[in-house]
Amino acid sequence: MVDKLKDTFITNWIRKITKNTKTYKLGKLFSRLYFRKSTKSFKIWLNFLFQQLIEAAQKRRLVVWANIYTPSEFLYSLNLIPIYPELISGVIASLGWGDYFIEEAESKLYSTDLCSFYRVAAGLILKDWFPSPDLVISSSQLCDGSTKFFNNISKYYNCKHYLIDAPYYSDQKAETYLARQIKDMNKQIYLDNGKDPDQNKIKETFHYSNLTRDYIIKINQLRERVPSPLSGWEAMAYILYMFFSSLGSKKGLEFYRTLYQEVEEKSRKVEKNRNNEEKRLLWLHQIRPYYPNEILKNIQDHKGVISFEEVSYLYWSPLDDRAPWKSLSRKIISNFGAGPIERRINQIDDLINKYKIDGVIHFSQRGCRQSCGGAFIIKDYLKKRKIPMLILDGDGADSRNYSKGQTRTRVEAFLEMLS
Amino acid sequence: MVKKWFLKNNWLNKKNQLSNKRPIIGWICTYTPKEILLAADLLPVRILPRIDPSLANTYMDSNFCPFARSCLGELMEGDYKELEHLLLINSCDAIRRFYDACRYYHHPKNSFICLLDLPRKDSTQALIYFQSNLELLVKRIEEFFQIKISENLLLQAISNSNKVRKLLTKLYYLYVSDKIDLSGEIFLQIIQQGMILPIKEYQTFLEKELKDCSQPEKESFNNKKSKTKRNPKLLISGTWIDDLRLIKIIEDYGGKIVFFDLCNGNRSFQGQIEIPEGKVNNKESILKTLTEFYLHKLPCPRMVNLEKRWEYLNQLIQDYQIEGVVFYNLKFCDTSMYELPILRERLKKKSIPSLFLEGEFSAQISGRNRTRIQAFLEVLEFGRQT
Ligand code: SF4
Ligand code: SF4
Repeated sequence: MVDKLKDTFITNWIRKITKNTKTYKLGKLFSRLYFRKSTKSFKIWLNFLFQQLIEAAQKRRLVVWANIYTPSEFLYSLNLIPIYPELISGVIASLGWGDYFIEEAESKLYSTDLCSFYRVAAGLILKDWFPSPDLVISSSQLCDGSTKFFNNISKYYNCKHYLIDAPYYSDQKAETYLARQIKDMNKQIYLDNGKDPDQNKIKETFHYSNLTRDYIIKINQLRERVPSPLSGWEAMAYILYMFFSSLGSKKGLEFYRTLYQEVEEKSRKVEKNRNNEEKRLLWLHQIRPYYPNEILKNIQDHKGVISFEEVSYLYWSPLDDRAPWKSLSRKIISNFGAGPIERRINQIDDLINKYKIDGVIHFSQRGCRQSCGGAFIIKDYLKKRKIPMLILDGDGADSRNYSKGQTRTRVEAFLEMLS
Repeated sequence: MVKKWFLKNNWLNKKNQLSNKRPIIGWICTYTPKEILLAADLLPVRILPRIDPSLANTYMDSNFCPFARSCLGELMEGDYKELEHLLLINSCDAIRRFYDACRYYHHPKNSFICLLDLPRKDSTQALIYFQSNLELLVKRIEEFFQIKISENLLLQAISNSNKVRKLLTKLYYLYVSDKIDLSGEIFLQIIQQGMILPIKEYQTFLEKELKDCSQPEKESFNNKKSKTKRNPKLLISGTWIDDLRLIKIIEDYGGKIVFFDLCNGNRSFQGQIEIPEGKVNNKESILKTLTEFYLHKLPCPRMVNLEKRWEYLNQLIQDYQIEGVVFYNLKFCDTSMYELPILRERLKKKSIPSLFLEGEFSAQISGRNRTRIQAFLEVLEFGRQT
């Protein structure tokens, strides 16, 4: 009885502080001090993250929870404050708190077989330890889990779920279907908000997005160099956070401009050190494990380097503010993970050539059907190209599915085979 | 009545006899517009997978829907090896990848393998989009099979399909009201046979059986009625039920399933495709009708309309005075797994007990599932007594 009361008291107290602006302001201050020696780009990310959290708690504008496949440009053009639960789950997992929320979600019937990023987010929601959304938007091009989970979010918070129903094919009629949905959504959200659509905001957002896009292209070009100036392991952490959530914002542009300068500088330095050639790996899947693990060490111990990760591949053309809905539709539809597997294979082919890849690791995130479902086909295809591929079973956010010994053995065997 | 329905699984032995030389086309989702296939004089045959999903382990990750893996196993090594043509629906991630694997590993010469895109909502735009997909499908079938799908053929196919839907509905009402001696397991077997038999044969059979049923001596249900009246009424909800023996186990423990919210249950025959009367029907308007029928039908977990699903489950609970709900989901089926926490929570609020069972396409029904079914029915029984 006493324990229960204590529990309830603590839960309520945490609920209060996690919804309070001051908490995130303090976090911002503290992290600035703690990470004062980190790179400039990392600090911009930290600032961006905490600013997002502060604004989400302040609620001066509408807070939208969106999935990572919803183009952030659409959200910024609507003047919303975007929160991406998958990215928050990644941050939580890297702080080592993922399993706590996962257990909470599982106790409320979220199966262990579901994507762990959504289980972390479900736990967070069920505990109600996060500033709540005013609306939910998700786009369905990549996985069923995200479509269904975002629908659930809207039920928990009793708010509207706008689903961008992404077609399978990328033909004209599919594009029209998508563009009409986005256009209507834009209108409806402004209407619900009691405001008139702001054409200038679209212009500004697209402008930032396109400039940022140019920097991403330049960074990706630099990464073609041998040795690699930026590790994929790093790229799938805070850089990935910005890749999904900052495009279309001024901060996003600042981040990528800074990152470009850093990568450029690094590439000049490592240029002198060319002899130390490593086994160049391509990482498949948009995530990696975020809880403490030794995978990177296993790779480095055998002179391997993640030269590129498919998620950073820039697949869309510049956005056009004269036809904004079509433009956003094209961005959604041209995602290489959507539609038939050939699209992903073509892109992998391209990356192998560009980044002079020796071997490919497919990280099989346990609950991710869309990616794992195609892994064998990709492996068989690469076999014909004589590129070895390792299917590495694991989990991005649920550390209980990480087996240190087994993973090390598999990674080591693969890298030894490459030499 | 039902003995003759136990057709052998190796239907391909009967292929030529069944198809009457018509090309056979495989399908696997209740959103498949079979009427178009019928109008094209094809024989639509649903893949009824029975193979151990691990046979597909060389082609697909094992953390993957066992239904899709088992279907792939059937195509690669099983009874459906010779199946040339396939019409799939963009039902879920599993089927999307199944489609990839079909094209990559199972590619008989001159085959028609197509994936029809299906919207996840039923808005006006979704209807327009889906209709254009159906129009394209008609065109592709016409080109590939060198045939013409006329308005009349479409209307005829719809009319036949409606007749079968009506007959199955009639049979269902007889079953649910205990007016015939028919178990739930056999009822589902009957439904499944309709998924592989030529429509005319199936129709004739249903008509004959229903006629027999209506003869007084066959209606020996008075005793039965009083016997089964006490059985707890259940609703079973999920996607595909792989092992129909599970229904038998539920019945053996005293449950009466009054609604099968499953792909191989009521979902497959519900409703009538209403062709507007007195109007000139051209191809476009007929396809519009089909579009509306499929997108407006009661949604399965794949669609993103939880409220509509909840409303209709709720309605069923009231209409049939359902006392308990059994959720039967296949392992790794995300679309249904995500619904579970919310639906069960809502049922709990209504004081309707629910049970969750997970299917894995294993050869045996696990002891664990048996025990849980037994315990669930005991709880229901106990609840009634108190
Ligand atoms: S990891 Fe896979 S299942 Fe999880 S959100 Fe990403 S695409 Fe979806
Ligand atoms: S059972 Fe679920 S995952 Fe499997 S095919 Fe059906 S909807 Fe897809």
